[in-house]
Amino acid sequence: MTELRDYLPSKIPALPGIDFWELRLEERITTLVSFKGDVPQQISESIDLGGNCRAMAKGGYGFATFNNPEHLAKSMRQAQELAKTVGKKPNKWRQRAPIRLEYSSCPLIDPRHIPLQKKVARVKSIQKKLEESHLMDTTSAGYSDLCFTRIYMNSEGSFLCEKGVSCKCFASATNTGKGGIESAARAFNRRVGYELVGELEEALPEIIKELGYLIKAEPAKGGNYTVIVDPLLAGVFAHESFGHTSESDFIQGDERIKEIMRLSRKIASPVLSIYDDGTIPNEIGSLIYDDEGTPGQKTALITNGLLTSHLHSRETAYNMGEEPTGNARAINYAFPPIVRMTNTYIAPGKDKLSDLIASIDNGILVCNSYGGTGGEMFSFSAKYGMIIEGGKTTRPVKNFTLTGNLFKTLKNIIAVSDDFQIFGSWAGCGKNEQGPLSVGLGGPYVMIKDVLVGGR
Amino acid sequence: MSAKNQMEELYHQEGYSLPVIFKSGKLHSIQARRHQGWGLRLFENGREGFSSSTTGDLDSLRSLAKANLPYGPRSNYTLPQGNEGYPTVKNYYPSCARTGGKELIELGKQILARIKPARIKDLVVDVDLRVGYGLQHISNSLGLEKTHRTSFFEVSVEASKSKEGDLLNLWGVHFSAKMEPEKALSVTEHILTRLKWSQRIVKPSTKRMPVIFSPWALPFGVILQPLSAGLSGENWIQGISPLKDKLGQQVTHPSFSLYDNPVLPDAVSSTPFDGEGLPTSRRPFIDKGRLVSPLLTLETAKKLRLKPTASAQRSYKSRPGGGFSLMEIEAGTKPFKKMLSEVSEGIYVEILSGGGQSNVIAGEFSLGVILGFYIKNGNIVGRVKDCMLAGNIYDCLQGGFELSAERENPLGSLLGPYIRMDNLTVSGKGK
Repeated sequence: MTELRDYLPSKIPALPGIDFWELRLEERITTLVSFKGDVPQQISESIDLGGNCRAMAKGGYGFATFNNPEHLAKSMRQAQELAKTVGKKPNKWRQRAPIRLEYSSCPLIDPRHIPLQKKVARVKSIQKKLEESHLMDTTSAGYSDLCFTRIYMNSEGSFLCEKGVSCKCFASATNTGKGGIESAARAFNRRVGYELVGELEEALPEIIKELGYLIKAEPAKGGNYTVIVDPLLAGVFAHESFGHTSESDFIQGDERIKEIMRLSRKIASPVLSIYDDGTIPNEIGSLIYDDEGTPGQKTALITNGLLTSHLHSRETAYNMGEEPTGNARAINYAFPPIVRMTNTYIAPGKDKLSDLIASIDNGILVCNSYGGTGGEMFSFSAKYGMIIEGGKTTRPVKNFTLTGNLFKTLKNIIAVSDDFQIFGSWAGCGKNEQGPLSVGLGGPYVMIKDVLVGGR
Repeated sequence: MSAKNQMEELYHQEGYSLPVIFKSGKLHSIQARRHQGWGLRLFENGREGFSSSTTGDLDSLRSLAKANLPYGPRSNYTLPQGNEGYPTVKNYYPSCARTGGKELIELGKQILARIKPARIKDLVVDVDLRVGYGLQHISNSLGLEKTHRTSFFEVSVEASKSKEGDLLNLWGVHFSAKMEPEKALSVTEHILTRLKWSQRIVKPSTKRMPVIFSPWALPFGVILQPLSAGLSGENWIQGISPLKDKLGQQVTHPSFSLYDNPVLPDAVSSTPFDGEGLPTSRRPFIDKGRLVSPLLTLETAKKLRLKPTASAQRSYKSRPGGGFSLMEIEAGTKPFKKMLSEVSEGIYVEILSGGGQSNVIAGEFSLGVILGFYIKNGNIVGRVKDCMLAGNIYDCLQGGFELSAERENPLGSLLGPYIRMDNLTVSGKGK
């Protein structure tokens, strides 16, 4: 069988007039098993092979992609010509010493060693287990594994080759009773092997419990509340709202935003610290190196309320006079790397969740999320919540969204609990035209005052 | 493979795009992107196997599909076999597909030059221009063989202005299958008008009021996602659509009609055949409030015992699933200006966030207003901030809404009018 590196030409063509070039080659083999009810929806295997070359000349970039590896040299020359058309200014690039690394991850249970028949039977058994609950009208379940090889090389002499595996799985249950249509789901997505399916199986009772809440819950009443968000929503906030604002391609061209996002600035409540960490073992956002050959790293974005770092590619690091942070990522070989997160989370504190609940007279404990969108004005749709009255959770509510101004909300965070969890979703993050990208997010329970709850 | 219970279908896509990107008003990069892929479905013994690849090696595709066939979906339908009866769809212009980077660079500079005289301090402008083509080809063992090419020209202009506590993002796009530089240049007028409207900020308080959705706002989770989910044949089979069991019944007010339009001239989404090779046509799904059909593929039509609607959407990586090619909402009679003038207090929205992130299948929407304007006595008086809208589309469409005479298809996925919903919950931080 042809190894990915066999597609590399023995001699890289000379690219006169180019200050820097890089080459990425990827092979991705994906298995997908999905069921709706007991009916298979898609059982498939796919092979995705392709690559690209990015060239830079006098500050301008050219980028060319290919699926057929025979077009590699031609794409390099095309990237060269495009870069030369664009580049008019002095070179702008953060040089790095060359790195040479070859890495293979070793999952506990390699999904390539599990026959497809067993994967199908396991997903079917998950669907069956969910169906046993009387709350279900219908269920769905899915599993996918990805085995990839990535090669990165550049004109500085770096050569990186990574062979890895990731798995993801989900299960969901839907009730179509008198109260309307309600669904509860759990999804896992990590850089581990087939053993991940066991985590989903353990989480099935949570799906049933959550569906029970959703069936009972009344629509929430809109207004301003003190809320406690759960670790998933804390992660959605850290990622969608603050994380995207920390991405330096958003910051670099705008003098006003540069001032708003100035390092050392007191931007948040002192109880808040936010990290982007590409080094956490086995999490889906973790990376050995990014798509520009910069090693993954842990970056403290906010430390005790002070803004301490931005997220960078090599280009934005140069433009802003800072160091690359290993956040240049592309969803695949068909796109150039842009500044993206890895695993973004709010650091845990010392408070107990029970004490936080006890301190609230009138508020909502907000649980689970349909997702959200960020920026200065963020909005997150919660799955459900528990009304807090007189320091106690009383009744479930649903159909509401949390919204607010990022900078005001960062200062309105009153407390963080000592819990901690990181999540990887079935889907992922989208930015510009590139999605979904696998990212991790999470945190503790976070208490926030004066949050606008949009209900009906 | 001649027997109908043994069939094979090969779906191929390829494409080329040339994005030219200006960042913060300066030329940043040019890209040349090529992609190709093949998806193979194998039907044997009442089961379906599927595989996909970017290499086009048919032997390897067949062996992968054969391996998963014993576990695949049950199939008891026949693939299309005729090559007649397909509509003529005009959305390929070779001159558009062949436009070069230098021409796009020139157009980008002209767009920036049109915004510059406005002399708005601290306005940061990004421009993304791209041309290219796409090709889809479908063939099956029963003799079907169809190919369609599309060209595209896309321009997106994003202008942002930030200050402490307020980041304003304005956005204008133009999508077409042919080169339309003048229309691309007019995107700047769209943005400059909104800049003028944004000089004053209004913070609405929480109450119910009329909301006018621009055709720009409709694809952001208000209508496109909930109705696509509600009309999905897959969701009918699963029993989770609120529209199931309502075939032929009145499901909305009679003034609402909804079509799929895969044959709109010059639309990038148009195609003479769907993802399974069936001939397409403009087709009603809700006709004057009456539910006509769900969106069906061959498989879901067979299971629901209904006629297929040629609604199979797919890429080479996926099996066909029912969906809209281009959602089209019938126009009303009232001019937009008249509709606006009749609102004594309300909101006009163009960009929303949070679409698809609620209980979509139940029709719920809960959306943050990214770009919206406050209406007072029929006039736009400022931009709204810290504001959310919530409702249920099925409740909203029962009545208490009005559709404008004008329609637009700004984002390429929905051709629709301005819609005024008279009594929507608006949550805000205003006093």
